[in-house]
Amino acid sequence: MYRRILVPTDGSEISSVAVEAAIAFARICGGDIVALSIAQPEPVMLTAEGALASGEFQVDVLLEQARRQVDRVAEAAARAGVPCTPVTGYGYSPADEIVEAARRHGCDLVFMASHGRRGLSRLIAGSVTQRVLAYAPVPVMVYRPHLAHAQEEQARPPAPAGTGAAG
Amino acid sequence: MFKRILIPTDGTAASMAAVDAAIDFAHASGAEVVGLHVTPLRPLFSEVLGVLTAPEAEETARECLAYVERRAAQAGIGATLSTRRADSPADAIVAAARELHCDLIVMGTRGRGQASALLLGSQTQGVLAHSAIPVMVVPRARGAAH
Repeated sequence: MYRRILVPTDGSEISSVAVEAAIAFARICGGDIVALSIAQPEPVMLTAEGALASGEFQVDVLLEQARRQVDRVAEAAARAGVPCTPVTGYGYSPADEIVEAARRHGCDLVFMASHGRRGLSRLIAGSVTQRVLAYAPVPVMVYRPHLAHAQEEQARPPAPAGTGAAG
Repeated sequence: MFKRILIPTDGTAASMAAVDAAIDFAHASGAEVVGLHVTPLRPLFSEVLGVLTAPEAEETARECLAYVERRAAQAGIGATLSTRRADSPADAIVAAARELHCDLIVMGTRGRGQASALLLGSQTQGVLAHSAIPVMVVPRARGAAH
């Protein structure tokens, strides 16, 4: 049904829960995924220290970060046996980049978290998601991770040695 | 992954496109659907029909749900139909999803080319804000293009 699913990530805890769900979903559909992370330039601080970080340096660092994020998705996809194309982009509006990527890569579904790293409120869909919803040419699955679950995951200590691998 | 899909419908072109997408999706994934129409408690302005009287609102509800039933039958999938009366359709949709044990809500957008804040429609916004389960938002173009 859905053959190519765009999975944007910003590396946040909440978006990684959505990524897991997206991979599981792609597997059921028998589709592949395009993992996307957008490097978004931060406003450079107008301080002496801020001036040290030149624009170019920042671009490299942000793109590297984005690359690491999509690589993590690709690894998880590989573990699930789902083909994945990792893609990074650069732009001031992640939402516009996501919409453009959906077109460029011929995706027939976008699967993303209800909000990401910059989502301030749990009660309102994030601004990036809102904008994607408004302009995406294809259906968008807005995945709202169970917040209690996400918090548990964060709070949970690493699995005791010997219990996981033995089973 | 998704077994019971809630399809709120209000009879607009946007929601019809969402019904079509949801039925296709349910068919492909072996899910059943729950068609839901929420009738406002107070007369509300409808962008298509103007102010609805009570009998008109009932007629709209019947037509909306009949469409879901017909499309589900054509696709050979199970459909449950439900009508609710509420002041806030968004709240009613979220409550219905919980009470009817749905694991996905499929809704439409209003269309494109307006200010982005208006594109989603206030009910879709409200559902996105309060739903505990995933919401699939279907652009109107998908339905209109075919």
